[in-house]
Amino acid sequence: MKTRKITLMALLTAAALITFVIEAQIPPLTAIPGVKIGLSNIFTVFALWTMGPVPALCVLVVRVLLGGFLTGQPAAIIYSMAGGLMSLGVSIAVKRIFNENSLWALSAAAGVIHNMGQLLVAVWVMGTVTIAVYAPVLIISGIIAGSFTGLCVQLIMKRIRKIGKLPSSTTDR
Amino acid sequence: MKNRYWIIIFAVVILICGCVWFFADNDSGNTVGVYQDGELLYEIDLSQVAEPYELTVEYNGRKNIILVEHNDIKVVDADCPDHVCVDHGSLGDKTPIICLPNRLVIEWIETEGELDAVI
Repeated sequence: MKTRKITLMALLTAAALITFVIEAQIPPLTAIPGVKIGLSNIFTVFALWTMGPVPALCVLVVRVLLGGFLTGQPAAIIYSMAGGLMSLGVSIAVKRIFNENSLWALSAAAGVIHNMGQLLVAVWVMGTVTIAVYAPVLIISGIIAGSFTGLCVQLIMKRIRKIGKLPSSTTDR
Repeated sequence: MKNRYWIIIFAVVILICGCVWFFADNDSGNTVGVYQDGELLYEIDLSQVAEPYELTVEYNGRKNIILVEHNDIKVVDADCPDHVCVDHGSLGDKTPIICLPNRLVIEWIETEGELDAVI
């Protein structure tokens, strides 16, 4: 079982990394720093929902670290890490109140918190609060992007369950 | 049923953020500040600028080139990966020009608070 778990985590991390790198090739959607779809979070949320908080944390941390180096922007790691950890932390804390059909809402909230975490680090790094003007836009984009990735996870779960391949550590939550 | 609640909640949040974003206005005067790492590098009164000139700001060997004209300021070139600052164009009403990798912020300096909506 342990080997299976590790392999599964590695697979999810690899998938997250691939999507992360591919998404990094897309030119910025807007002039606002930090607005992106965040597709690699699909795998983090999937890990959280099917395997639990600790595997999700592993997938997240490894993806952020390696992703930063793979995309050639190690400086961006602090933003991603801060946003990701805050977002995962809150997700773990409130996971109970969501079921599989409202997973998109959990992901949307996670997206907002992720952006707010990045904003906090940016304020700290830049030394001025001005950049916080972008908060409204980041909240909106966080909700939209999070909802989308959450819906993707729901779709993936449905399909994978149909072919009977859901990780055996899942219970019907 | 639970889903419906979430949709309403998020719709309301989006609405609020949208309103805040569109109705927030800077009482933009004429003076801009160019900050790096939180420190004020230049304070320029744009209405007093007779001839356009360029400022080059450096951070860790990376440069931003800022064009200062009469009542206008913008970043024309940057040594960073995403060029968000260049895409920003001229400094307008609401948002500062920001280069995150180079810790650069260009914003209006005025006497009142900046972020509140003006009613």
